[in-house]
Amino acid sequence: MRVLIISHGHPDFNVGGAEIAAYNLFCALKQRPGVEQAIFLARSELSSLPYGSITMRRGGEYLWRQDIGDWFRLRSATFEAICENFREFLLLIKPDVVFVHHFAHIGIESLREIRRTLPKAKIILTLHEYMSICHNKGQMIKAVTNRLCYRESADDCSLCFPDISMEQFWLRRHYIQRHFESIDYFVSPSEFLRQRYIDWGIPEDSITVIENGQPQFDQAPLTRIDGSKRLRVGFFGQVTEFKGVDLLLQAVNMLAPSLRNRLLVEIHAANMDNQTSQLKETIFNLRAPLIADGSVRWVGAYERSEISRRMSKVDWVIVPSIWWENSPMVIQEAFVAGRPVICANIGGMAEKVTDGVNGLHFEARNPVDLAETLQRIVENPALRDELAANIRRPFSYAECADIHMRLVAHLRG
Amino acid sequence: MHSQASFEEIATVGEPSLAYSAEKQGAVEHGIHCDGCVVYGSELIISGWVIGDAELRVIGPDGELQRRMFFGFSERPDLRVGYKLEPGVRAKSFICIVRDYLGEKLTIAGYVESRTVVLTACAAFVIIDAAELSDFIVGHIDKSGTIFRAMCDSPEWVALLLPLLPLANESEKIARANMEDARIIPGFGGLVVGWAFASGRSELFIVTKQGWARRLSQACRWHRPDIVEAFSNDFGNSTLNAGFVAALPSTLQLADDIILVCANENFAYRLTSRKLEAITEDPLTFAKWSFALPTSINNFAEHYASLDGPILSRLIKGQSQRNLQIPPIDTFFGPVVTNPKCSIVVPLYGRYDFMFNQFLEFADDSFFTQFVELIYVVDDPRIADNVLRECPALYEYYGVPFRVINGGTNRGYSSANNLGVRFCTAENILLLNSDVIPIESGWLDKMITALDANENVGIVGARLRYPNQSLQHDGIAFQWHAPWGTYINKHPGMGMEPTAPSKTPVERVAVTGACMLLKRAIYDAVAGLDEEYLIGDFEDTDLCLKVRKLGKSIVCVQDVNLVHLERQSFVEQGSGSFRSRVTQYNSVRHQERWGSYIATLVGPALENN
Repeated sequence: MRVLIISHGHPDFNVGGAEIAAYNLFCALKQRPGVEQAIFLARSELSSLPYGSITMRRGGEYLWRQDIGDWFRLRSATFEAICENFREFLLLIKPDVVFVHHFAHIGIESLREIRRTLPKAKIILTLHEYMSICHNKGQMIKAVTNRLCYRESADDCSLCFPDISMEQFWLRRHYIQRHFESIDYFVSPSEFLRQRYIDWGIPEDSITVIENGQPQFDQAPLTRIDGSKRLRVGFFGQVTEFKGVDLLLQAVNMLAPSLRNRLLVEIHAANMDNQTSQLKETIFNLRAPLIADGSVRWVGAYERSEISRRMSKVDWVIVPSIWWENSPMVIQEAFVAGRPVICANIGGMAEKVTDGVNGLHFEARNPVDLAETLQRIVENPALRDELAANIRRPFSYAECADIHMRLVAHLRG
Repeated sequence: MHSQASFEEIATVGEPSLAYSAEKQGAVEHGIHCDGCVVYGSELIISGWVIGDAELRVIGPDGELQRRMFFGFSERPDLRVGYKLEPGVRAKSFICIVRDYLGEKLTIAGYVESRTVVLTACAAFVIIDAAELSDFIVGHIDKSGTIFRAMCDSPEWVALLLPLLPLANESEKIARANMEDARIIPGFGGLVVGWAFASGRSELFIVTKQGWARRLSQACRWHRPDIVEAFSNDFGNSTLNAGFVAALPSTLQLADDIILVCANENFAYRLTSRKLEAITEDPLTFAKWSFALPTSINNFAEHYASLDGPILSRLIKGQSQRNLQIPPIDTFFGPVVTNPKCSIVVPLYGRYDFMFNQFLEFADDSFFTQFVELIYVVDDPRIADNVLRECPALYEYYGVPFRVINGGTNRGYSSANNLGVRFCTAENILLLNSDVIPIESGWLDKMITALDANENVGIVGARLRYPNQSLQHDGIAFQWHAPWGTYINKHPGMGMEPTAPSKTPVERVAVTGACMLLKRAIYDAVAGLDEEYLIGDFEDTDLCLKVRKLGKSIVCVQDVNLVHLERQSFVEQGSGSFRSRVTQYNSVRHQERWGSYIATLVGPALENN
């Protein structure tokens, strides 16, 4: 069996969760008996590559200079390269199975091209967020009111984007869904996301949940809790308007000073500089007094390889996102590190963390409820160990690859 | 009433004719005198004076003169002194203009209560030249208004009068006016728009230096609240309906002046003037300007007939002529389809991204890839290069062969379709809008079957749906629209949940051109779509009616699923919008051509649903 894995980025250049998941699937499949050849094709924006060209990165790994020209219909920027370079590549590689880990930055036409060029190949598309459903950065949050969105419809989408007509949204959905018809099977990393796509139009019996694989390492033991040390809560991830860092800081500000004295919130925050000045100003004002009184420590960005070390130093991991999330990598990473998670009670977060079992829920977008949750873990430090004991170790890359192989075997009959 | 004999006895040329009061000895009660008669061209002007309140009439050899005549009067206080007139007895000078004077001897008679009181023979006429006429008018400037009104249909007279007229004095509350816009396409005509009103018996005229003049009462008028508010304290109800728009003749040139003149029986004044400006020959640009001019609902037909209509129709014809000179360029993408069963013509205007969605559907319809000749007509130079740039990859990606006819200009919906049809090679022609997206295969097959099943069928349309699957089109019905006085095209059931589809085609009065199938032979027999509607509206029903006239029927296929991304009908939108005015314009044209025929069709047998 010949396998092709397509990713919207190569981990050499892009370290997003989906890119890493794709690459690790590739690495795991390479080793499998029965896999004659595994090829990794990653979209690249290296300016040294001509537009549309596909070039070897290293043995079995290729870079494709490609981009999106129209983010509304998710159309390719170099459409002709789909029918030329990509088609030639497919004909040379002749994969029996194609795993597409994203078409973002590539163009949704790539899906139909695989089907056209390789009519017998099995095509499996892994969905990572709601981009195909929602034009608002794939967040399923209302653009104007910032409220949570429960269901796509062309009329409602047009309310979010008053300059874009309902007809335009119909055309968008039509274009994307017709391309999705080329896909044999869809993989969702969470049941929540799966349901959203079923509501939107993917047949129920052609989409399954496979959790992303995780690196495996020895868990650092939990530190002994005593009254002399502050309880450490860590936020890990990007600071965007959807990630809820401002909400977390609001909640800490609400705590009584006597509680704050016993708490240390660490913000391991990436991508802060790219945010709006309004968000930066909000966060700056919220964090200043907390840094002064020692209850917040602004740690800053981290390399992927550092995450296990950093997580091992906290007692709790917090995911305060105000959007649904899909299957946040940070939750899996916390569980690999053996740390319980506090998260909002919606979407993929609520699915991955069971309230009172391996973590705690707070009411999404509610700083008061988050403050009460923080108060609860400070006043009840033993809760950490109690919930940590219930954490189930996430799948390894190898286990994840096994599940994918079983899916392929099922599809190939 | 009176005879030649009595005239000979009483009248004496050159002498005043007087009548004295019965009660007061020696007091003059009535009198007439003729000062002189001048002839310029074929017009006679008699001047003189009259005492008392006798009504003046002109008597010719055969009795009272049956000719166009105009009297004008002004006060003569000097006569009151000279004749020692009693208080209450009036003395006035007069002129009388006799049009088409034939040289006969004339007498002026004064009547009181149908009784001839005084009578005077007219002096022998003197023929004068233009300079002498000017002098005469200057000498009678207090009756220039009568002369102007009498002669406003004569360019020669108007041109001669105009420089002699004084500017209106604002302190005299006679009239106010302003021309807000005046535009012309030389050779085609133009429009002037503004507001004007005059008090009392004054009349307003639109005039050019060349002598063209029209009464403003013939213009389209409407209510201007701002003018009423500003002037009604001084001018009362004469400020109502101050707004006007009037047609200008095609003979005018750019930079000619348009002048507004106010005339009563005494004076004529120049009120205001404005230089003509240019407007493009492009019909749409002209329509955008002229349709934005206000009009009252009832005025529209009049507006159409006398103002926009003639100019627009000339502009559209002119544009069609020019477009014929622009050669279309035909480009093939993929192999030539031999012996196609159907040729599809899809005009592209403004945007072309619909192609992406259409191709997705066409590519998966095996009937399409085998039997269809697909022709896109680019009717918009702004998008031509982008379309042509996309096309090679569209063919490579979708594998559906097609042609692109680049029309090189914007011809409009009808003309673009007609152009595309010229390139069709199949026996069947489908006109398809770019925003119609079929979402189930087999639709075209069904339509062709419906056309071939019965040779009586002239046109096959299709049920179309909105994106949310509600009904967009299931056949067209004509509905009388009283405010416009026209039939308009209605889509019965539009916006509703579609009824269960009939398995067989259903008969309709007409169907939309958004998706319309017919034989090439029929298309040619009725000369295709009419190209003289503005923008794209009504030409589909026009085509349907032409085909009906051939004795053919029109059917609609219901068991298909095509989405039409058209917005809600604009007829329901505010009546002021441009689109609504375009519809109204086209509906009036449609009505002129088809109104009486439609009236015979609108019966229960053909009403939809």
